[in-house]
Amino acid sequence: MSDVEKASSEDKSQIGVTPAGREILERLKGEYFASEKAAFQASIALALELGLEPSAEVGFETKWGLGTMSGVLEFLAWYLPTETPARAAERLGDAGLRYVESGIETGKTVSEIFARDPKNNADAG
Amino acid sequence: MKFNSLKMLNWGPYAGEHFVDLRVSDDAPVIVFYAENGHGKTSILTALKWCLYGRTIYKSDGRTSRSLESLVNLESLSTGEEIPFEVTINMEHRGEQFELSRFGKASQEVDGTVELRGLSASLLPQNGPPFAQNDIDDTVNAILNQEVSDFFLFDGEMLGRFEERLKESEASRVFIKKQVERALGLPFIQTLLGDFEDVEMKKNKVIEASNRKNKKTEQARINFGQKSDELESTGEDMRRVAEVRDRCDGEITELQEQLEKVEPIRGLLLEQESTEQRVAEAKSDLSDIEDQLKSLLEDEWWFPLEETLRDEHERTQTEWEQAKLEDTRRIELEFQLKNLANLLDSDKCQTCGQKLPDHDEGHIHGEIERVEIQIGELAGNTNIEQLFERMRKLKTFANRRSAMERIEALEQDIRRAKVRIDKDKQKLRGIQEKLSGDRPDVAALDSQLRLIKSKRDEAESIFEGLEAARKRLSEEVREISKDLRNSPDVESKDRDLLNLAEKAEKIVQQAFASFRDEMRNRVEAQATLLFKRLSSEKEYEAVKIGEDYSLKVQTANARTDNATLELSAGFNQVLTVSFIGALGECSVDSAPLVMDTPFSRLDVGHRRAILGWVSEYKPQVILFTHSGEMVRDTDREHLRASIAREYTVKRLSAFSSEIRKVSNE
Repeated sequence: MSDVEKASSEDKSQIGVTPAGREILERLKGEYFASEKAAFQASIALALELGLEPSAEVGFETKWGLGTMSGVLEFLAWYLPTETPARAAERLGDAGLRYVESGIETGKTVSEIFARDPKNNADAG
Repeated sequence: MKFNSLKMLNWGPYAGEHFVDLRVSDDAPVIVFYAENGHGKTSILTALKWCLYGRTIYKSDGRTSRSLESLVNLESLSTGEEIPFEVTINMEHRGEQFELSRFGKASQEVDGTVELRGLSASLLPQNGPPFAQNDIDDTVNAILNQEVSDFFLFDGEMLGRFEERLKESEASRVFIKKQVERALGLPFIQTLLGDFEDVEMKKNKVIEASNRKNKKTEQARINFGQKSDELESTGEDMRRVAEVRDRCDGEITELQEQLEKVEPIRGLLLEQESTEQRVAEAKSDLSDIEDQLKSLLEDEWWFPLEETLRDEHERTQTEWEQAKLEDTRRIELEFQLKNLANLLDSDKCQTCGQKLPDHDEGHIHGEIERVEIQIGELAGNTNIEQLFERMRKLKTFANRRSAMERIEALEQDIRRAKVRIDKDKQKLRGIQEKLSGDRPDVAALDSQLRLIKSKRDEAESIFEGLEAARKRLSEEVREISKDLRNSPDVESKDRDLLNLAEKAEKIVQQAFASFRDEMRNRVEAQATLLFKRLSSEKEYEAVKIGEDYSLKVQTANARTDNATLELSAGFNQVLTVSFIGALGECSVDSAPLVMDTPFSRLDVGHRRAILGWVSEYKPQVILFTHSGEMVRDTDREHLRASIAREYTVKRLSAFSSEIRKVSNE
């Protein structure tokens, strides 16, 4: 049984993004990533890296099924660890997206936007 | 023949009257004109050609001419009055002097067009009455035949075109044969042969008519009629094909002239093409790199977290190793504790069963206490399996080459590709600016040239086929005619005349073939002499004109290279000069060599070799040159003793130039 399968029935059955997050995703996809999924996963990783607070936003609109994100969900389940990896993914992803938004505006590269050291991303929020 | 003087009145850029002394001596046969492009060098060459043959400048093979209207001086025309224009040459041929003039009047209309009136010519021998108008052209041609004048009065463009024709491996054979025939005076011989054929044809018809009442020769008459018709129609076909071929030659010359003018544009177009190709390749590279980057971001989505994951992996590994050590230590201590407990229960040695001499329970209790303290000091949360599992999972992310480093490297590649593309795009904009405006379609001209060349070659091949058919038919007619001419109905004078014409034609044909072979050998020998003298490479030994009129250069080890195909551009030009020079030297007794900018692609060595040859050329050399192709002070040293006169051509205004004598101080 995988970590995701073991996850609590409290967890969400799909992963959503906020309308603001969707806009950022579209821009990231056009500019840097091959897909919105790739951009969203990188945003989750960035949120973890920077220790961002999971987003407390509401109004997540369904975007992906759990199967599409199984890799990142399994990761979150053991790494955090959590019994609600889908919910964690949703909220961490949204937090990461909001963080990179200002970076996109200043025309930075992926490595600059998703830098570990926040000093490299001084313009970012 | 040599020129003594040239007078130009309102000609080209020369407003008013300009007199140029062209006298030379055997010791100093060279006259040099120095002028920059567009100042009026070629107008002097044009003046000589127009005065001699009544036609304006001949390009390459003499088919294309500049309009005479464009050669009347514009500054003089701008007065609005009718003005006279004239070119007069004083020349010397076999000890006799001639003054040849061509002249007319010109005026400029309101719409800018130039009207010419009263064009005429005069030829005055030094001693004797003027030549009749109708005899002028024949007399001038007898002095220097217009057909061979290209070998003496040539410009750099013509050199280029000669070279171009020699390069066409298939067509060059025909071209070389034609040039050799030209040098031989073929038009005269052809006219003679044509006259004989006319006589034969007329007499054959008379003989055929004489046989009309003779039933015995009826079949021969029918055959004769058929073959004669065929012969006539083949002759007609040949004329038509020759017209097509000549028209093609004219079009080829015009296209080549246009292409020469657009040579700089061709260079820009090639640069544009290669730059566009580079941009396309760089864009494709950029797209590949971007795809690689996107694929990396997709596959290794954790890249922002990777250093943390790597650190955590290291930390977990350390914890796991520490836990393993502690676990081992705990097992050891627990074993010790068990042994101490057993010892407390017995005063005999547990191993050998002997009674222990110093059985001290107090001491054993102390030991147990110490071991228990040590066990207590070991961390109690050592879940080795959990640590191992976490370490295994983290290893998946941490045990790779840094994704971030690879991302940065790809981003750098992207930046470089973009800079390269931007640079090339900027270059393209520059090229496009230069190319903007009304410019000819070079590719279309090239394609048109290829098409016409192929049409010309086809016409040439058809012509050769027709020529062979005509020869065969001519023989057949002659054979049939033999049956008819022996009929008693034919008058003996007609029979005798026909026999005589046939014999004469045969003799002329044989003589012509033999002269042509002899001329080919002479041209070959002369070209070899010149080529060896002009070429700085000792490897090349001889110029060979094969029996099929192919031109080859023989090397010292007897290897022959197809001339102009494998030689460098400079050598090709030297070979072309040698070939033209040889044709000229073999064609007439002597004539002046007039060369307009002939050194354009020659290196210093070859240029000076040609100057050395020129300095000894008899009877006269007139050289037009500009600063781009001849270094006046140093190259002049190679001619110094041979220079009779030097002139510079100075541009005074857009439509006015002046010829100034250079002081020989």
